[in-house]
Amino acid sequence: MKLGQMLLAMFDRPGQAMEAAVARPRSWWLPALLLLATLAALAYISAPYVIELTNTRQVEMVEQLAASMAPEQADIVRAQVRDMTLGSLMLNSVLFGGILMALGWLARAAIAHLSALAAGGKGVWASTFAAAGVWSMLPDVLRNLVQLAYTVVNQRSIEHSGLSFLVASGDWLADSRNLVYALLSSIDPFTLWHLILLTSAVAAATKLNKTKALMIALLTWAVLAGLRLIPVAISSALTVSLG
Amino acid sequence: MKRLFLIALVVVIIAASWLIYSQQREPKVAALPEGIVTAAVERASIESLISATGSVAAEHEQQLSFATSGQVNQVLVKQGDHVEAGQVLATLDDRDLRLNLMQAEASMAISEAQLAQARLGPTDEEITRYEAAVSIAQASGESARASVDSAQANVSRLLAGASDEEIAIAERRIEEAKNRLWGAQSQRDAICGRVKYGGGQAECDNAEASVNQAEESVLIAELQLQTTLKGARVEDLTTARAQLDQAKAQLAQAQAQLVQAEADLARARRGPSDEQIAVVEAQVVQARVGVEIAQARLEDAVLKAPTAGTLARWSLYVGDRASPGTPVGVLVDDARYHLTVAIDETDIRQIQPGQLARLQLDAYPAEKQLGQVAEIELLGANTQGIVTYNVRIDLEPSGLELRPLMTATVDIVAEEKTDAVRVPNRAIRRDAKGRYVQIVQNNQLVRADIRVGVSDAEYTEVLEGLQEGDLVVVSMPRDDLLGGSFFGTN
Repeated sequence: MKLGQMLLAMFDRPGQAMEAAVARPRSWWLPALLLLATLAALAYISAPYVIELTNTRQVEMVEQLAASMAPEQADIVRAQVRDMTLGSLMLNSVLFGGILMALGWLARAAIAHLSALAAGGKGVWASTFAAAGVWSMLPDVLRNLVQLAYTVVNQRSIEHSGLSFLVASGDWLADSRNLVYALLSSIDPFTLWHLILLTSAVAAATKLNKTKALMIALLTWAVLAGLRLIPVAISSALTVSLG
Repeated sequence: MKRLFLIALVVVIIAASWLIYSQQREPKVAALPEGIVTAAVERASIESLISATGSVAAEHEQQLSFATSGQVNQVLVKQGDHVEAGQVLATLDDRDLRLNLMQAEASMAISEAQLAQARLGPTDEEITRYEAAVSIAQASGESARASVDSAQANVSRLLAGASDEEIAIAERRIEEAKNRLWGAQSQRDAICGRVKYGGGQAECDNAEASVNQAEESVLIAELQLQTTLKGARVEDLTTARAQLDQAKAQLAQAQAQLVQAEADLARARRGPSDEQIAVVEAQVVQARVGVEIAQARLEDAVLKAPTAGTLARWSLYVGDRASPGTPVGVLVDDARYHLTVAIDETDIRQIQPGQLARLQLDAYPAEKQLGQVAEIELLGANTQGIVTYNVRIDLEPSGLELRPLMTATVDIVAEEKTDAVRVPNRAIRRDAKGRYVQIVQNNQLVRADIRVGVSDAEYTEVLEGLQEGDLVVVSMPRDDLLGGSFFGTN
C-alpha cells in the first residue's frame, strides 16, 4: 500500500492501514510531519488570541502576587513583566511542543510494546513505534485542523481543551490545579478515534487479538493520561497544604 | 458497510468537536475574590504638592565690626538689645584720627591758597626780583668775560716772552736799587764815622741794616732782570692756561645763569600757564581727598547699626582693642524671616515665584505657617550626582515667635485643581505599557489604561481612561493566590 493510500485508509480501513504501517516502519515520518505541520499552523493562526489571553492572565497573576507586597516592590515586579511575543509562542509551541510530542510517541510505543509482550504478543519495536507510537496519533492532525478552522471562523482561540469546559470555573488559576479539569482536557471525540487506531496498531504490530489489543490500548492511554496529571496533582497538593 | 460507518464516525467526531468548541463562546466569568477593596472614582479638588525641609533664617544677619583699629572707649548696647538703623553701638578713641583730619584740612588750605595765587599771576615784586636776577647774571657774565680776557692776555704774554719795555724796566730797577744802595752806604759811612767821635751805635747799626736791605734789593732787581730775559716757564704757562679754562667755564656758567634768569623773567611776565594751574588744582583735589579720607577714618571709629534688628550676639567691652574686620557682634533683622529649601531638578520646573507654601515647624507642631515662593536660584548644586536648586520662601507674619535655624517641613502647592477626577494612589498600577487601574465591570476585573495629571499624597488626577463613579480596585486579598481546592473552586 502506498503512503497516500495508507493515509486515507486510516479513516475507513484502520486495520489494513496499520498492517501496512507495520510492514513499513519507516513510514512514521508522514504522520509525524503532518502533526508538526498542523501544530505549527494552529500555533501561528491562534497566536494573537493566545498571546492576548496569556498576557491577561500574566497580569492577573502579577496583581495577585503584588497584593502581598509593598507598593514599591509591586511596582518593580510589574515593571519586569514582559508580554509574550509571537516568536516566543512559536518557539514554545513548535519546538518544545514537538519535542514533547516525540517523547509521547516513544512513551506510547514503549508502553504498548512492553504491555503486548507481557500479554504474550510478538512484535518488533520499530513496527510498534511506527504504528502505535506515531500513526495512531493521526486524529491529532485532524483535531489541529478543526481547531485551526474554528479559530479562523470565530476569531478567537479555544480556551478549554477537550471536555474540560464542563468543569471550568472561570478562574484559570484554580482550574490549573483541578485534576478533573486536567483529565477532561485529555478527553474529546478525537480520543475515541485515537483509541480505535491504537487498538488496530497494537493488534497489527504484536499479533494479539482485538480484545487484548484494546485492553493494551486503554492501558497505554490511561498511563499517559495519568502522567499528564502528575504535575497538576502536585500543584494541587501544595496548594491544599499551604492553604 | 464498515467503511461507511468509520467515515461517518470521523464526520461525527469532527462535528462533535466543533460543537464542543462552540460551547466556549461565552467564557465563564470567575466571581470577584472575597476581600477585594474598591473605591469609587470621584470628583474633588486636588493639589500637587512638592515637599522639602529647611531651616528658618532671618531676613538679614550681619556680623558687626569696626572698619579701623583702635581702643574701645564707649559701649552703648548689650546683647539682646533691639537697635534702630544708624544707632551708635560703640566708639573708639579718636584723638589721633582728629589730628590727622586737622592736618589734612591744613594741607587742603595750603593747596587752595596756592591755587588762588597761581590764578592771580606774578606780582610786581616778583617781576622786579626776576629782573634783578637777570641783572646779576649779566654782571656775573661780564665779570667772567673780564676774567677770561685777563687770563687770555696772561697766556699770550707768557707765550710772547718779555718785551723791550719790560727789560728796560728791569734794568732801571737795578739802577734804582743800586742808587738806593749807594745812598745807604753813604749814609752809613756818615753815621758810623761819627761813632768814634761819640755818635750813636744804634744809628750805625740801623744804617748798616739799610745798606744790607738795599743790597738785597739790588740782587732782587738783578734776578728779576734775569727772569725777564729768560721768558715764561712751562709751569707758569700751564697754570696760565688752566686759569684761562677756569675763566671760560665761569663765563659759560654765568651765561647759562643769564639765560635762565631771562627765561624766568619772561615766564613771570607771561603769567602761569594752563598746565601749571591744572597741576595746582590737582594738588587741591588731592588735598581734599586726603581730608575726606581722614574724615572717613574718623567716622570709622564709630560703630553704627547698619539696619534695625536685634543684637543676637555682642562681645565688646570698654578697653578692648578693635581690629578692622574682626567681628564684635551679630545683628539679626528679625522683622521678617524666610526659608531656603533644596528642590530636586525633576521638580524644579513646577515651582514658580508666588506659589503658596504651607510650613510645619517642628517647634510649633500644632500651628500652621504660610509662606510664598519668592525666588528660585539659577545655579544649582550637585551633591553625589543629585542636582538640586535652592528655593527661597518668604514667611508671612503669623504671630509665632520664630528664631533662626528652626526646622520646618514645607509643602509647596505647585498646582491646584478643583473638580478633578481622582483615584486613590494605591489603585494605580504601572507596567511596561504605562499606568493602569483595574475596574470592576460586570462582576469581573478589567484593565483600564489611564493618563494621570496632578497628584498629592493620597490621590491622583485621572485625565483619561476613567469616569466618575467607576469602581477601581485598591487592593487584592492576599490569600486569593492560594485559593482553590483539590478538585476546583466552589
